[in-house]
Amino acid sequence: MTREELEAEIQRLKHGAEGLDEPDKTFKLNDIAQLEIELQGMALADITAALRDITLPDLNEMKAQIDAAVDATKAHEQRVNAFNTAFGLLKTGLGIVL
Amino acid sequence: MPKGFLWLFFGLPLLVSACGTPPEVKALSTAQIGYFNLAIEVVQKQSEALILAADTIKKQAEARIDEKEKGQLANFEDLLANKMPATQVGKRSTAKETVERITQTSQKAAAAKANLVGDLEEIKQKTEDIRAYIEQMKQVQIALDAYLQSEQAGEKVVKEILSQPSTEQFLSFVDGLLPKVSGAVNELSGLIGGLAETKG
Repeated sequence: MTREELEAEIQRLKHGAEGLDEPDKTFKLNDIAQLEIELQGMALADITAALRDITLPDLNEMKAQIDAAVDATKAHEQRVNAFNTAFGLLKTGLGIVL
Repeated sequence: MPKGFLWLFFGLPLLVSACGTPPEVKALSTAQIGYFNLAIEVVQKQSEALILAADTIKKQAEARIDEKEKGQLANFEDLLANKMPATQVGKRSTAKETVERITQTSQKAAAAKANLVGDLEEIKQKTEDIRAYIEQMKQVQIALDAYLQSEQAGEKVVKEILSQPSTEQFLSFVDGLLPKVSGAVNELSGLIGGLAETKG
């Protein structure tokens, strides 16, 4: 039953309770009031449900992948630097003019 | 042929292909970090607005619960004081049900309020998770950007290679000089050895 359907049901029960004698009338109205209180407790339920539908990736897994990528980049940079040094030495040592 | 030079010949074309990222892509990569900063700020504002709205809804719902609970207590007081039929007055079962209903109503009110508090906390936690996720996406971009920008280290070499009419010509030019390089091999081998270590 949706929230709207519940509210309609509460209204229907309220009208039905009007014709009862006491103490049944007060007791029936109390049943309805307790339902209304429960409904008020669900005031944020739609927002919470919408947010629950959002599935996010595991942040630790993302962090591990970032760390791996950073390490790989550092290693790559070291390789490039070493290559450039070697290449520069080759040029200087052999007198290569490009 | 010395082992180091073999690596040099095969390594050059690899390096050329690795350094092929256009400058526009590199610039976009760096700009993307700024875009993430803006996205983080936007999500932060949206989160604040959502939490503010949720807090307002919670307070309004709590007020309605209090009002409903007080109304029910007043109804039971009225029942006991004014409305109870003579046939029911002093009946143990009626008195018992009245007390039970008052207790139930208070318990329902407390549970409903606790539910609201729990939901608001969950909304806050989820918005924080979303903020942390976007922050982490920015960190991913920073890592990618670092890689793209690090290619600059090899660009000097690549530029010189590309200034030759062709890579093949460059390689044949170096090949022709090979007989002269024996003196430099020892010096180079140390560097290339270090290169292999970092590669692993």
